[in-house]
Amino acid sequence: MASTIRVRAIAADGNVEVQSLIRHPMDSGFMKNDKGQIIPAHFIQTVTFETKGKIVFTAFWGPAISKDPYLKFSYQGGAKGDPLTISWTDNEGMSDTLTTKVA
Amino acid sequence: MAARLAAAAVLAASLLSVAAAPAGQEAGGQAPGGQATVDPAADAAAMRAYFHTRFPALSLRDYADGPYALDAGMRKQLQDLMQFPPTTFALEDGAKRFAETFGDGATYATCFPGIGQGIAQDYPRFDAKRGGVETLAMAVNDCRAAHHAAPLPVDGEAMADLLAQIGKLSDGKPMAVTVPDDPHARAVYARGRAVFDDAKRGTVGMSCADCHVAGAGPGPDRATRAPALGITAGFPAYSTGAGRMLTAEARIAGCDRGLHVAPYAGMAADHLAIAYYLAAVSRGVPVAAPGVRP
Ligand code: HEC
Repeated sequence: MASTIRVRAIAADGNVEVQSLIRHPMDSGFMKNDKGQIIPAHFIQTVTFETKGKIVFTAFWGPAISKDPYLKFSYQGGAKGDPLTISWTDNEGMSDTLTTKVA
Repeated sequence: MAARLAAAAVLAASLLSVAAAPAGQEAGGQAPGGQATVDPAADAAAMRAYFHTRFPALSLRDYADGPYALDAGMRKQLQDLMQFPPTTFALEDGAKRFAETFGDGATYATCFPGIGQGIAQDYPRFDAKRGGVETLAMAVNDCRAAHHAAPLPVDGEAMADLLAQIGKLSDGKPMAVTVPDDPHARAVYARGRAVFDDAKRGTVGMSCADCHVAGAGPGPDRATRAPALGITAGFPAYSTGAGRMLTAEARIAGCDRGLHVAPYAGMAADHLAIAYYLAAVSRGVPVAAPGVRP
């Protein structure tokens, strides 16, 4: 299956700017389907970004985040060519991970 | 039999005479039966001139960005968003779906001229066979029907993905919706224009034009209102608020709800007529779909 993670990390002036998009339904548990049944809550709980053994960003999410969530942040001290690993896990125990290189 | 053949010959002759009309000529002048004068080309020129005078700095392409065209702060937001557009997944899926093969071996490309590259600018169009407005979504479902595939829900995700992809394949093509010389087509166009200009729409009692022509720009509620010119060129558009893609018709219905229009028979047809009118007066504005909206 194709990765659920799209990421772009660009180094400039000692900073790395990261943008990512994760494919996930982020069901809040409050919506109903066509048949009027509640769609169970299904959402990402944690997202981490790690480079060279160090976590540079962690997000704790709840059911109020929109579908296919987008993230943007930057961290100091990164450089072009560094590996950057993104991982998420959700409330149903599903997860995905992807490693990219800082451009 | 002979009578039918004769009738067919008359019909063919009348079709020929339509086809033989000078290129570029469009429905214009007084419609039979004393209907309102309909001159879409003149309406389009007037619409463009009006906005050019009001916002001389804007290019035609800018109008495809809707409210973002008129607000520098919002425009910056859009530029950030577009570095990593929320339409990314819809386009990935749309490209796959568009390449799908039906049970009989055909693909969407076989249904559309130019294998579907550059068709969005011609929609919505008047379809004489259907006897009304045909949206791109309807054309997609017609294609499916022709190849024995079940129709897709018009407001569903699969359709949105396909419309996004077809929009992308038409990126930059100037909108080219024209009104054929057909009394029914002219009537639909006139209806769309009349509803858009209806000064007493809904219990709010305003017109679409109050906000999107005279009131284009920041409103008293601080929401920026998109200019009517090119207002559908970025559709379908991903609404970050709704968390999904909206078609132009769905967006129009949304504003109609805002006007507190009580549902009536023919409401959906009116929304199609408005979409048709808006596309026809926006000719020349480049397609920039799928757009991204607040
Ligand atoms: C009270 C003001 C108001 C009225 C009246 C109104 N709208 Fe809107 N409309 C808005 C605002 C605000 C938005 C959201 C910002 C934007 O996109 O312009 C909007 C958005 C839209 C959009 C999407 C534009 C884009 O690029 O995202 C369309 C299309 C539209 N309206 C059509 C209509 C139609 C058709 C009517 C009449 C049935 C109508 N509007 C009536 C205020 C109004």
